[in-house]
Amino acid sequence: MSHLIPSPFFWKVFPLLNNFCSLLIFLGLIPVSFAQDKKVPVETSIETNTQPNIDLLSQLPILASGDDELITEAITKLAKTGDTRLESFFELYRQGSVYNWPTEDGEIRIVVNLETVMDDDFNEFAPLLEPLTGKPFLVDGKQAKPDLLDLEDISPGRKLRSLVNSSKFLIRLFSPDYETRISGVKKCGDPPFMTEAMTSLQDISNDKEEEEKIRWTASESIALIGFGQKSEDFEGLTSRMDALEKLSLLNSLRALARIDGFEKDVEALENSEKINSKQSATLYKRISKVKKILESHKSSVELAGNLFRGLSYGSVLILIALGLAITFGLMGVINMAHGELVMIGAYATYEVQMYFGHSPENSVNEYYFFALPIAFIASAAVGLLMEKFVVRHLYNRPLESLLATWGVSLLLIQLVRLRYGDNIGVNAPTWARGGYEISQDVVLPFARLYLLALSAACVAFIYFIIRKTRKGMLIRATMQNRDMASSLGVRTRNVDRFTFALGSGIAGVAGYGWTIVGGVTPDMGTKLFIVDSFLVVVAGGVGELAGVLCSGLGIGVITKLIEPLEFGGFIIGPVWGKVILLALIVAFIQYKPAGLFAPKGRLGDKK
Amino acid sequence: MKKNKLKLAIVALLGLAFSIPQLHAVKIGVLHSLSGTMAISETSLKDVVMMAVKEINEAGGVLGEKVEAVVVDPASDWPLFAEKAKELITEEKVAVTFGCWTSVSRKSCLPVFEEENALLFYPVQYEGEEQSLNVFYTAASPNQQLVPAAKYMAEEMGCKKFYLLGTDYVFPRTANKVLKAYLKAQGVPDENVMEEYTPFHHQDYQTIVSKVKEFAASGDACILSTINGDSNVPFYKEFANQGLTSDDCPIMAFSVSEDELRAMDVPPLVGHLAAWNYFQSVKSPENAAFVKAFKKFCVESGLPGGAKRVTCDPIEAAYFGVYVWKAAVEKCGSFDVDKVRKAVYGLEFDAPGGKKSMHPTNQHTLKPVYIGEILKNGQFKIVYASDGLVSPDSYSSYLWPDGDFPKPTGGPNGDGSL
Amino acid sequence: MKNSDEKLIENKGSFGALLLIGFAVLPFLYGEGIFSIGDINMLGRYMSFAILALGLGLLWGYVGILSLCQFTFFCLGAYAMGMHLAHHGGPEGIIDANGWKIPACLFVVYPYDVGESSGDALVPGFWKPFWNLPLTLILGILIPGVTAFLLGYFVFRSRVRGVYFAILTQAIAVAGWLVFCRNDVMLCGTNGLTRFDVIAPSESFHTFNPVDAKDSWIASHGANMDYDLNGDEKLDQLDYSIADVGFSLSSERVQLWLYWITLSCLFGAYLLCRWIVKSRLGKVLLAIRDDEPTLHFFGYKPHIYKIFAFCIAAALAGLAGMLFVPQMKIVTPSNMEAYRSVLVVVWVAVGGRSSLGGAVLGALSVNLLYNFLTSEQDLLFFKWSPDYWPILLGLIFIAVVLYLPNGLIEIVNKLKKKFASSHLVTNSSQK
Repeated sequence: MSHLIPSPFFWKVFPLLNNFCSLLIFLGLIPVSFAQDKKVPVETSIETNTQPNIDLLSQLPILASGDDELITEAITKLAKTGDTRLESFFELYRQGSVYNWPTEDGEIRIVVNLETVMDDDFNEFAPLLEPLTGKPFLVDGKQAKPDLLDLEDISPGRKLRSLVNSSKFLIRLFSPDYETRISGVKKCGDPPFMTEAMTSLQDISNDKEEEEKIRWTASESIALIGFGQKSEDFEGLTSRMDALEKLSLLNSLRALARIDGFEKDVEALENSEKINSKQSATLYKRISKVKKILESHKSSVELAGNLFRGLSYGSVLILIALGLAITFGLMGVINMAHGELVMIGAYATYEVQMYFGHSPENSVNEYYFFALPIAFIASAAVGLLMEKFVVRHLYNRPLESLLATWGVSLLLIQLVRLRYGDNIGVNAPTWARGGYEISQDVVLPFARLYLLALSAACVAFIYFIIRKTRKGMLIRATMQNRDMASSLGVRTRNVDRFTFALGSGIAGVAGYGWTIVGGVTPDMGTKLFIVDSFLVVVAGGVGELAGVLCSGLGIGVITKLIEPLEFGGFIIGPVWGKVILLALIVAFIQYKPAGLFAPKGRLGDKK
Repeated sequence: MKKNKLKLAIVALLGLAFSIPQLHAVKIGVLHSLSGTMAISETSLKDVVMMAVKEINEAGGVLGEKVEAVVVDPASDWPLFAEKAKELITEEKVAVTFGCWTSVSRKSCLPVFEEENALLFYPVQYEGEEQSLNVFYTAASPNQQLVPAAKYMAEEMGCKKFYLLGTDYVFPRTANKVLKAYLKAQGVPDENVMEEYTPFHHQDYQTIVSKVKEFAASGDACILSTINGDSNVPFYKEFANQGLTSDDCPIMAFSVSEDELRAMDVPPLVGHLAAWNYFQSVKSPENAAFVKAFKKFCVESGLPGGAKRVTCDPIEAAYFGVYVWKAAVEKCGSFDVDKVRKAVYGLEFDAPGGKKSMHPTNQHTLKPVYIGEILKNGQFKIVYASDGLVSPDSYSSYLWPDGDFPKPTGGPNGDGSL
Repeated sequence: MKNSDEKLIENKGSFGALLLIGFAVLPFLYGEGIFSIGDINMLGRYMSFAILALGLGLLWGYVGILSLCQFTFFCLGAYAMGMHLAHHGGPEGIIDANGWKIPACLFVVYPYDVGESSGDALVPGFWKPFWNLPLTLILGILIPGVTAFLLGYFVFRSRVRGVYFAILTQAIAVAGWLVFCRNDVMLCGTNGLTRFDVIAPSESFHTFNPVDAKDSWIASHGANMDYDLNGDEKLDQLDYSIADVGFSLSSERVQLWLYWITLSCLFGAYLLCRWIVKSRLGKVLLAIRDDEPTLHFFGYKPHIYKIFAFCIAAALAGLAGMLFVPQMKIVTPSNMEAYRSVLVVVWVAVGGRSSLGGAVLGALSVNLLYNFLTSEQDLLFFKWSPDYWPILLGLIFIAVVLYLPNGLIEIVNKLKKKFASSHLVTNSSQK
């Protein structure tokens, strides 16, 4: 029998933990590599700096002249250079972050100030930057930091602002950065429809661009510009219609959003008798055809999107409920502090972020991989303490564990609040922004993909531990028949401790994953997680891992399919969606009183 | 042994029952949640009120008396707000109370203030439709925030389609009603205005953001957001994750301030907007001194966040509320509620964000309107400022088109008369 | 099974003492000026919570059913009373085309479309029955009772048990909260029902006649505000005008009366529950808790008894809600949030779920402690800061579970035993 006596359990957890983490890190890297694939700057054949630098600098002081006509002229000149450094300059100028800092002789000096800094006495200064390069503005070899009140505001008026804005998008067409370039290409096709961008767009849509997506967007924008022109007669309308048909070939959803406006234009011209009814009839016919194509594309995009959103919502639910499936499902502890264990994981992630110095200005993405084990360990440690001081006395009194763990949750929330305050920012790693477009208009955000992978990995990890390891066998033995296991020499105390710590640790991992999509507050556990996790566990069937998996995914997908439904102008939306879902769960529990995967046989009788 | 225990118990009970009276101090109540859901917003207001009290005491107090702040924790529990208000007024005998954030908390303790004829300074923008003689509203009424913002989006940003997105409670509902009435008056067709609400603490914005994406595909749409509190973080995160930026669809937020931005991942938010009556980035020596003092106070008092703490509109409103009360007390030379109330009417004062004044009759505050663009450092770049102060409406003219507003409530006679 | 009956008898004395304190001592202290009306008012509200806890005590302690939606039933009662009070509420609001008053709290959230004028707004039909006070009182108990019956009928018949039932009721609590928060269900959204003014005006007893009501409303709410009395010196005047305009909720005398009514209801509810658990019915209920399958085997239909207990608990919750509202003067959906109903379980568990007295004791003590700890207190040796209340309260909950498994009532029982043993010889047969 001696082979059943476990060695101190933590010796065994750690290697496992390592394996687990490396697996997750591996999974975590996949979206990173996606992101990098996209972001590698493509060598564009467009000369980014066609004109000498000196010309730009000579134009800048005009901005401080105060004469709108001169400034307009200067901006148009600048925009024509296609110098990519101007993109950020225009943005700053529009925003009003560009100042004139006159020298003592009254000479104009154009500078940029983004933010003020404070010294140790909280006095404010304005560190200056070079307008074009964004490097520190040096005076005598040091960055100039004058008092903010010394700077003269030269922010543009309203008319100029819109000019600056469109010039900014024109410049973006030449940017070496993929994201910037595509946003410029896209924006040129939006109102007010920049016809001046036509030639550059045409260049891009032909062969000058290597990225297919950008070429595609450019041709979409070209067609949209054509479609967006004003029309006074049938000919004008026909040329717009041609552009629209071109767009329908591209399956352009942007065009779909504009069709109603076009129909109105046709109607207006018909009413003012500039076109006759026969002409309008042909147009309407063509429009409805295009509409049909675009709408079928839209509905398939929506369906794919909804399914993915359901999966991703389900994966979040599973992740959050998984820890509870162990502490409540296996051990029978009504753990009201489960949400707080999730919260501890999130705060551990925050601590790691602080330790690595990750911040919006200075991203250190590595922190996110180290945060995973730390979050697990932090929550597992809190779980161990809980088990030692509170829960272990209550294994025979499950309903009273509700009260005690409720007390623990109150305590944990306020301790965290007093230590951290309410407002802390966990900044997701930069690769989590944006998404991967698997087919046209179906974008899968990296953050959601990562959560899917994380929750799959967690399920696999738990499954592995419980089903494939000796420890897991001892856990199952103890939970099924404690007395028998104990008499066979299992140290049930150790098994309890290990199991509770494991469940708590997984809750911590959920908190860690949560930071990538949600916010972190001390009472997030009680507000957001506890009710949902119990629902998932109970609907799935207490004590069954597969049940959690199915009910989590089921709830997720059903929610996301219900939410966008519409009945005669009444959109169900998130509130009624949730109400309907809860009603469904209530009905479901009636139908299957012990959940999806009900424990069978003697085990079932016990519950 | 047992007798000792008994003695100890008696001593402890006596300790609970009797409090040590403080001499020569005027008490003020601080009624902000320090725990529960609203603590995220309200603790900052408690901190700034404590700072104002400290400043006033260092400068010699009010009418020669030290100010003593009595802090209670209504724990984001609306009925408890009423209980605590009653306790402050009847047991602590406070001269004035500063507190509340949510409308429902104010509504909950309003009957207490009216019955006891006490004063409350309320520092948060709200939906209006209320005018109690026992409350001074130091933050914006709807016309001081909503309409200028919608106007800015339509005229400056060239937006033609509006997605009104909010948390489902009274402020967003009323705000959106006012906004819709305004947009309709501006000739925006109905199909270009969408309205959607989410429950409190909603976290999964995937569906809504994808709808926004469709809505904004035409390139001339914007979101007017009245999303509240902790839902903002997942909303903005999802917005950025689905690849949307402020170029595609700018978001004008009415409930996102510098303090909320502390909890967000700012870079993807750059370029989105917010409308308030004060920003930390308001350029003036007074404001610089205020920001400096607040940070110093947070560091010295060892408050969480320390030097990273920022000021924002409600913080400013809570802060100058204390000074408005002080000025009024000094003007009338008394702590008496009725005298102070009369002294507040039409009072002009210097707030950190510039000169402001109290409305001569309707309990609200005349304030400037600012619109700010989010910067990478979590601050706002002010891109629009109103000409001078905007006068507040206690009842919106969009909801009461005939101008036949209800009478005020409360006051010395309990019937809304002075 | 052994403890319940004996304890009940034991608790009779302590409950009597509580009653004495409630009826005689507290009003005396109030009369002497030691307690303010605010304190009396607060106790009144906590006693309504005690009624709520009593229902759960019966359900959980004696039948073994853990319901996590008791506050939802409480709110059904509270909203019934709230709608009644709002009908006869303060001077704001408008009169609709049919002569019904739309209270201010409803009007603000009224979702009429832009372009429609306020004149197009009508009071929703389901508000109308609550104009009438007797009808409101009946509905306030009936609605939660019937809801519980329907729910119980389906749930208990399909043999949903234990923790499954608890989670199911929690889902219902969440759904209820979401629905009541919606503005378009016309229950005033998250701001809830407010601006209550008078209770039991004479018109609320008659069948509604819009025209009369409009006249009387204008008469009483117009320039002539003499009904709105505040303070003792005008109380005599109030007595003469009651017939027309009802009792002002802000008057101290009415508050005191509400307190007494609540106390009487608490006593009544206690007697009812005690009667139930002592009767033959109670034995069956206990049997359900201890061994349902066996009982089933004996030919009983446990689900009928369970439904019965569930309905009683829900009706008591509705009653508690109706008593709570006029003393709180606001009712909001926040009371329906899931954690509130868990809180009721906490009260009962702290007080001791093995006896009815424990539920009452738990509700009162936890709430008083909560109220005490959330204010700054100058204690003899240190200053208590409200920041720390969740920590202390949390520790107390844990300590009660670990060291007082039968709840606070155990201390009371022990003290009483000690007291008794010093005077009488303990009955040895009990041991």
